[in-house]
Amino acid sequence: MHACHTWARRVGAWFDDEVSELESVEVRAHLMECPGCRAAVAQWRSLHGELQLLQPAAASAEAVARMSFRFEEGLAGEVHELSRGLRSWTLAAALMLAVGLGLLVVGQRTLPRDVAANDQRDIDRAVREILQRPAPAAPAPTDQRE
Amino acid sequence: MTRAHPDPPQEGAPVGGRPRPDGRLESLFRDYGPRVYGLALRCGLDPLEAEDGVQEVFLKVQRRLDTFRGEAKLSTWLYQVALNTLLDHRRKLVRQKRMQPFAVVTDERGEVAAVDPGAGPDEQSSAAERRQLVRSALDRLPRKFKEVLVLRELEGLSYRDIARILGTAQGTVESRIFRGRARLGVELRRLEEGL
Ligand SMILES: [Zn+2]
Repeated sequence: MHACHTWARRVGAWFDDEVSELESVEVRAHLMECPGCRAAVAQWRSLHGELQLLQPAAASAEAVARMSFRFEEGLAGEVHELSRGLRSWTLAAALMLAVGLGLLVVGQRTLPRDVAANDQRDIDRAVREILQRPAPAAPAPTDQRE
Repeated sequence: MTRAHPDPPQEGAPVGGRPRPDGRLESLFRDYGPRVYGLALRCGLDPLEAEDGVQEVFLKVQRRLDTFRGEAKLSTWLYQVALNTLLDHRRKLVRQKRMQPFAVVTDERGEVAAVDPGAGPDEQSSAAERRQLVRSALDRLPRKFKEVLVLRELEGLSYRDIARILGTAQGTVESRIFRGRARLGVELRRLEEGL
């Protein structure tokens, strides 16, 4: 038996306590006379119960300590990786630029003019974007609002 | 939700010659680390995978913290990053078939509140099997249904908060929860029938 089409979603919202008081009265009145919607509610209730099987216990103190340690270690390492990465990106960008310019020279002979020009703009933009990336160790202040 | 810390860490101050994680990140980790861990478990990761998941989330947060512009609440933004990362993580694990369907988690840290500690071994193992079945059914759902069900049924969030996290309309959330439940019921029945 299924919830009736016109009421189904409202009954669902009622089940989740997401309706106004007036709507709640209406839904309850409907449930009194509609076995289909009552069956749907019973099924949602049972599903909710089943899903609670996945509800975890609070993290153990041991797990929290382990995560904090990995957080400190991992992120400090990440800062190193990022600054190393940034240096290699700068190098890669210089190479890309050189290759790009080379292709452009070839491209002017083999490609239509507009395609070659687009490539150049893309390369310029990519290089600018890479060079303008802020140093990862000195992040800009961000507002921590809740 | 952000608590004031009496002794705020110096941002980027080196410790032992190494750069430290961003101070904002440290307080985010203190405030939200356990919650992200809980979310990871609710997304279906087992305890050790959940710890990896938390690590992955905060690495991503570290990389993206400067893109947080304050239009959204910080907690909402963090939820977005965490939910996407953790569901991706879980999907990858499922794809790699590292998750054996119906396998009972035997890790000593695989403690789950829903198992009644007073129950006998048979009851506990059947609860564990049932839990695995429910987890598998949830894994079979399309992402759009799985995320709303995790946020609603397990995280207990309101439609409004879910809509904010997913960047979608409240009506969409309502409809996805409704359809997600129907779909979950179908997947559970299929698994029970061995399909
Ligand atoms: Zn009805």
